[in-house]
Amino acid sequence: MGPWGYIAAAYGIAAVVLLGYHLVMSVRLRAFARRLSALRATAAWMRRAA
Amino acid sequence: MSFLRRVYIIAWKDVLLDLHTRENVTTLVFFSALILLVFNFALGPDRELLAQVSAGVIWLAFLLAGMLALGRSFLLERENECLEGLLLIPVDRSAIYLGKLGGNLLFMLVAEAILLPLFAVFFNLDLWAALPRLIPVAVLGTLGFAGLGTLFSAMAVHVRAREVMLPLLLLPVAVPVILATIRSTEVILRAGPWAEVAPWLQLMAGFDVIFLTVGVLVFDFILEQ
Amino acid sequence: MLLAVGLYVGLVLAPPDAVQGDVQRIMYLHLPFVLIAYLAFAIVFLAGIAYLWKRDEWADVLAHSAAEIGVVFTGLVLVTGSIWGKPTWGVWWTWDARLTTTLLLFFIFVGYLMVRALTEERGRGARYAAIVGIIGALDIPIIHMSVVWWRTLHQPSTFLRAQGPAIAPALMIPLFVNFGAFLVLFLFLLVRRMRLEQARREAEALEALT
Repeated sequence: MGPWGYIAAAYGIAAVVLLGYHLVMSVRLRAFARRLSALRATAAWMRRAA
Repeated sequence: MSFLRRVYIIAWKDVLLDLHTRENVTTLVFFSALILLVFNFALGPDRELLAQVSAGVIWLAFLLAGMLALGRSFLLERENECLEGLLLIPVDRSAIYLGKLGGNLLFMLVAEAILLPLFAVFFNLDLWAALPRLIPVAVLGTLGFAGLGTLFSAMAVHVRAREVMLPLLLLPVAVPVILATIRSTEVILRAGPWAEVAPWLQLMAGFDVIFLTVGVLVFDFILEQ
Repeated sequence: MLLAVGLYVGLVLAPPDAVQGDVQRIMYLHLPFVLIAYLAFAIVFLAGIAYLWKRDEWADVLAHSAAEIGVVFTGLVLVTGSIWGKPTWGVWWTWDARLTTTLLLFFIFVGYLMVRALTEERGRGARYAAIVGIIGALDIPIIHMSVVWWRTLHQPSTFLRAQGPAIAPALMIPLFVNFGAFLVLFLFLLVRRMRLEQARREAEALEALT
């Protein structure tokens, strides 16, 4: 493996890890945003009912 | 009652308990001896190799066994709801920390004192010549290890997977003490110059001072309900 | 989001100069990662103290997010360092002082995240994690010192010093640019991670209500 092989490996792994981390976080953020709006609606509805 | 007297009473409570049940010191001694035995299988009978690694093997046996005792220390208090009782003592929480630390330190040191002659026989060590220099190393090293161990032990009882949690937290943080005890013991056992031991002792003393202070300061936050 | 990622990729590809052989390019990743990892753990330390002192929920969110990103970056430091080490030292790993310290840093902060995740109540977990963070951050210099002594007192000159002489200015500029880019990336990730954590906590609180 030449020097560029090592460079590619290092940059590749770094890119995959960071992008992967970012991607997982985005997915979770979106999921939570959806859940939160549903929960907020329920909470507001319960307050009105009470 | 003064602060120190309360510390002493909490430590004495643990010692008395152990005098009755003989749980800590006995298990510590046998467990260390067993670790030593198992290490010997890994290392083989080569005399020279054994002489080189004896310091490391001895300390790992002590510290691994000590970790088990530390883990039990607060588990017992929690199982029998004794922690609530301790919390009722009208004293600063750090007294509880220092008291428990005193008990743990004593157990580990007694176990070390019992085992050291045994290990000296196993490894053909000249114990008498090494002993006066070995004592400060053992005391400072065990103090640092037990100091952080007591702190993490108090935490681990409230954490799931607590048996694994204590070593997981303690081992990486205790690396300076582990390194210092092993390296300085190794120098002492081969009758090396004192100048090689002194920096390690200073390092351990510094470590002990820093983390005992931190322990006293943060222990309140651990016991908070 | 795309902007920060685009900026980062652009800057990674930008510095085309390589003076001491091409492998040296890994440094542009490795060094900024190390600095950012240390920055993250400094944040964990300070936010931990702030949380214990003021009991501000925000400080805890900050500490948690910084710790998680710090662990990711420390992991990358170890991986890129290892890949850099193979062609320059001939081995993937050597028990050199800096490597050992970084590995222990990684373990300490994995422990930090585990304490948080495995503690029964969140408030308690936050306090415990803060304590682990403070102890860990104080311990890092001591660990480093002890490991340096271990290598020098015990086996002198068995390994070559990792960094050569002072870094040439031609390398410094891309290094700074990269550091700036990764700093931006770090802050970006931190803000998003904090938003996620706050959303998670709000959802938990609302779920307890309903």
